[in-house]
Amino acid sequence: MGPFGLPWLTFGALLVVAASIAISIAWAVWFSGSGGGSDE
Amino acid sequence: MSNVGVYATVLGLYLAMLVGMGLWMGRRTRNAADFYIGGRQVGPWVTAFSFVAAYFSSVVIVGGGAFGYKYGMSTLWIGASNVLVGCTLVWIVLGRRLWEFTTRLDSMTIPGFIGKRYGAREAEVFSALTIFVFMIVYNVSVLVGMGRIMEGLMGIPYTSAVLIAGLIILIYVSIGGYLAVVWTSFIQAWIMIFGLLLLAFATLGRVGGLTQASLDLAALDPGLVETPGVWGWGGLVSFALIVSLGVWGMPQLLVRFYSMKNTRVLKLGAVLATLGGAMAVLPYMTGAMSRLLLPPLENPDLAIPMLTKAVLNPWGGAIFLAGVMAAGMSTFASVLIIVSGAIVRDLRVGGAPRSAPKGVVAPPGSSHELMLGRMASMMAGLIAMFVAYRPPALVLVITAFAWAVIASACLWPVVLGVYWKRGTRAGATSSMVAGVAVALAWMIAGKPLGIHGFIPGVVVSLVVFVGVSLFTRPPDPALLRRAWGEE
Repeated sequence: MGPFGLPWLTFGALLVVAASIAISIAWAVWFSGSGGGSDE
Repeated sequence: MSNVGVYATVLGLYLAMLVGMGLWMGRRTRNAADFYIGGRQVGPWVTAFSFVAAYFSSVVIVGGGAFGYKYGMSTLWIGASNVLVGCTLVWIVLGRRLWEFTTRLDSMTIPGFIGKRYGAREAEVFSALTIFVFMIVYNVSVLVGMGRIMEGLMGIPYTSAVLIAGLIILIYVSIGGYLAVVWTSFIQAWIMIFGLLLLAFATLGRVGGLTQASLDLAALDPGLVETPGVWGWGGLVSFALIVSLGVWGMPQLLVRFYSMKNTRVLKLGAVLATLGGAMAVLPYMTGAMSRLLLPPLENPDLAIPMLTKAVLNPWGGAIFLAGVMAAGMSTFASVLIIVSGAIVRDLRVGGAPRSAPKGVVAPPGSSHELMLGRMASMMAGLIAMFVAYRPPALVLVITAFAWAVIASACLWPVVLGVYWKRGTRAGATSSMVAGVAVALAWMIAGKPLGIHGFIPGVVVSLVVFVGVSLFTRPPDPALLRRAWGEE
């Protein structure tokens, strides 16, 4: 049994949401650092 | 004040604000580029939250709650796939390239992009016709959803609800165009998020928190908290894919990427869209918990309206209703602009649109095209309203796979169009036809194996695209250089 009384496989859905937020922030930081994005 | 009075006051203020925004944005809409893509001047906050609002319609909120009620907590995976695949990854993978390609190819619509990318007028016409037919059908389902919830919560007759919601949207879309759509959607996204959080927290309070709710649901039936639980893998995975991967081929969402003012918008936009999209888990979670508070329901679609009445006071209920209306209206409005573009720019009803010469903002004939665009959006809206007024049974059946058909047609020609130089005109056109045909046939056959028609549609269209492209003459190098910016 995982957190919130949910089986781990079901709780995994909430982890995926948290991971998505982390991925978007990491990508935004990388995109800035790589000189990505233009003002064209 | 009576409950209906509270609902009418909140809703009246909200609808008046939408019309006001439409009139205000109408002053900034001077040509076809303004009407269809806001003159490519939209920033990160409005792009991201209008994307979220257009993505999640009232059908998702009410229908998501119904799925949660019926199948339990395993439906959280649908919300999770919405966030990861339908928000985060699509922004990262497609956002920049689609902006660059549509800018280089001077495209304002997805069919227009496909036509220019592959030099295939027939692919442009086919995708525009698919969008015209199935987007209107999709809008019928959105309107029916809004009408039903207004009827359920406010007691307004269904037909009057359809008329009120439809006419308000027609006014602000036809006057204010894309800018009105994205700015109203931006506001609507916040109303949706607030309404969903309100209902979720009120429900959590009633059931004693998420842990207690999970334990109580498991006591009712362990399948209500397990994955895949009572739904099974086939249904859960195929539905999660259609409502998340499908986004990659949906023109009313992809337009957000080529209306951005520049690609710097993507940095903050991707984070904001992910955060806003995270609300996608709420309808499923709330719907699952509603099983503990409501009597057994024959129609799970009633779960969210009944829960609203059970756990929120009239003001809270009115705000949630405004949120559901916001979800439906933002989607309906976004689709109207896309259908209008398909009619005027891609099918060229009223004459071929002209591109602007270099350095000229509005091409000759632009005001004529603006007028045609406004008329086409009105016509598309009126057709949807007319059908939704008394929807034939067949239309209600088709709405279940309108999204699947459009995504099957557009997904690979768009995604591979910005990543694979070897994709050919014949490959793109045949993949669209095959994708639509297979998705339709699968659904008409009654979803064999319990799998949604999107899955076979999108698999077949990929195989056909790659296979036909490899066996036909490579694309014109000049066309590729222009698309990839190598000139």
